[in-house]
Amino acid sequence: MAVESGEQPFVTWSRVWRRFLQEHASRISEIKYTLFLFRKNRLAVLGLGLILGLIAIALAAPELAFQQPVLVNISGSLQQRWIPSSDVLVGPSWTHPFGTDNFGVDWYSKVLYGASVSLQVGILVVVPASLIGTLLGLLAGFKGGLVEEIIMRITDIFLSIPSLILAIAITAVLGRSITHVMYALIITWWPWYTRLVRGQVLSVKERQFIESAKSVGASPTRLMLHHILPNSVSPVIVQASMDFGYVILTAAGLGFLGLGSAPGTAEWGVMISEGINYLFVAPWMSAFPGLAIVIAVLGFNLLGDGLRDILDPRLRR
Amino acid sequence: MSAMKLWEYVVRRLVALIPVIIGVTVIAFILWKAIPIDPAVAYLGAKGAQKSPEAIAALHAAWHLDDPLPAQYLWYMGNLVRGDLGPSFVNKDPVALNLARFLPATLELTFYAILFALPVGIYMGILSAMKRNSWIDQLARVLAIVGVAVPIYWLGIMLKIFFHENLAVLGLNVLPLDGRLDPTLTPPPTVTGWYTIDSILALNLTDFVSAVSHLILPAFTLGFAQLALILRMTRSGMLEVLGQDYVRTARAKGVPEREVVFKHAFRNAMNATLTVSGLTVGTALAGDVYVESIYGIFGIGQYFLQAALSDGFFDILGYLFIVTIFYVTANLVIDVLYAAVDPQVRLGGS
Repeated sequence: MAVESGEQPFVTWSRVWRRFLQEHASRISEIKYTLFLFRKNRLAVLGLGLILGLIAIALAAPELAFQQPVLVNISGSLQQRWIPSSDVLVGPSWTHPFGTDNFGVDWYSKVLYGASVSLQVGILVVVPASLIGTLLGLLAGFKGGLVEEIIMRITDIFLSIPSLILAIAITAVLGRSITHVMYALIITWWPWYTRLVRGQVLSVKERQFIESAKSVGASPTRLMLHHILPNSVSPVIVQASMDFGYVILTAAGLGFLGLGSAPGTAEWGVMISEGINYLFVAPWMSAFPGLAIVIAVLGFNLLGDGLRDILDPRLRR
Repeated sequence: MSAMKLWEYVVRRLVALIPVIIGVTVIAFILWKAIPIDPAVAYLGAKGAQKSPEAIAALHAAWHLDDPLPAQYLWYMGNLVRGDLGPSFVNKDPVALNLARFLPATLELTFYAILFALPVGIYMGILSAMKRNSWIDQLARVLAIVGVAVPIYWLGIMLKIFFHENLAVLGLNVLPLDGRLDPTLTPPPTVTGWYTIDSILALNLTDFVSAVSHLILPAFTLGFAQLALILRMTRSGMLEVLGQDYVRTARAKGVPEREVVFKHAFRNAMNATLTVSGLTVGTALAGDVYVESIYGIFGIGQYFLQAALSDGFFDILGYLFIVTIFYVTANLVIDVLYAAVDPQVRLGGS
């Protein structure tokens, strides 16, 4: 709208907002509809609730825990230490809801602190793995030819080793630590996204709106980023949300095998393996951290499942 | 004619496997080069290495450690083709011998786990799709969701705790918690390395019963997650097919419901189940690492774990090689089954 000279343009936030709503009306109604579908999907809401609960626990662990770890400087790096007490191998009670371990450390506090470790691993693995995988998948599907051939053959090779086994081998080679576990999981997880996105791109590429975008002169970059990517991304979102759970489960598994965090750390897998020595004396030691893993994985699984139904174009309208 | 085509298809797929297997060994080799420590020192142990620098130098020469990566790779592959996988870092025996020694226990466990998971999963999947929204369906859906969320290593431990406590009360030893055979028994003479088969061949009933009872918990633990996955895929595949027109036509023609479900619908719903069965072999082989260590079964999974914890380079390489071969072969078998089921794949159609 051209402003006549001499007159001050009358701009208020409410106008800007109204304008924004008008311009994006179709997109907003789409989002509203998605939210409506989401609310109707009880399992997805339950999943989201579990995840939000987990995040809340991870953030509030210092307030909620009965016992705090102390940070000790061991050869230049800060490490968690849990102070022992005389309440050794005490069963679950009001003072120790999840019991104590063989050093008298409160297991409930340790499980709470484990939440943030697991969530961090989830984020630091799934985000880079899905980004790398998506990028390579886009490239392979869009470029075709030799580029596609090379990328997909490498993907095939990675997918022909069971991922847990490759992750164990990589962690063994790099040395035992939770950082190396994360590297190993990124290396084993990206190929799934590449395969997924490539398939998606190949089918989107054939659709008519791509043809029409091409005919009005859209550049390859614009085609890729504005047309193909947004239409290929929803399975990636579903996969990523499921993978959060599986990554948490696998990372804890590597910790369980003794390839991740050091013994004594508040990491669920390590805690389960510490319980093995007291299996029949103190079953709670293995039981509660494992239950925490189950809840976390369940949350991400339910959310992913729900998202799949919600984002499925066949089931929409 | 069609048998010929299928045969061609198998050969084509087998040839396509060669670059994949070479690729896996290349990855394993790059991993080896990434190791920050000297393999010779790791092999001799810190003490042995201090004592004799000559031994280190000899190993460097024998293993081509100072050669460039491609030369070293060619040396290893040359040996591999001749069946020499190098010496083990775990027990100094040849890796090939170790793998041959420990493989049967793993294969036996994996076989029985899948033998349990596949039919039960398929049957429950069909049943829950048939009786949609009944209590059976609800139960199956909960099982499908929870089954994949329960970590194998945790399930194994919980089962051990549960059966220990309850069997201690009952004074029974029906479900042993460790090992492959009762320690008082002598293992049957080795023919296949599978205790369940060898004991039958030796006509030793006590060994057979003991071997089977030792397999129940580990096989259940290993199969549980696979069962959940198979159940889920079968159910969703069946639901999709059961809603289609030809199924309604079959029902309208008066075909008995059993026949509609198993003959008309399941044939076409099987694709999803087959795909996930291929994945199942991979997850089961990986799950062996956990299950074997929890139940004290010495198979290649436990061997691999020990090798990983003691920087056993040749052991890790050999294990990766063998597991990849099994996994890839399983997927090949699945693809061939696909082709046998689906003429479009078999005849190279679109």
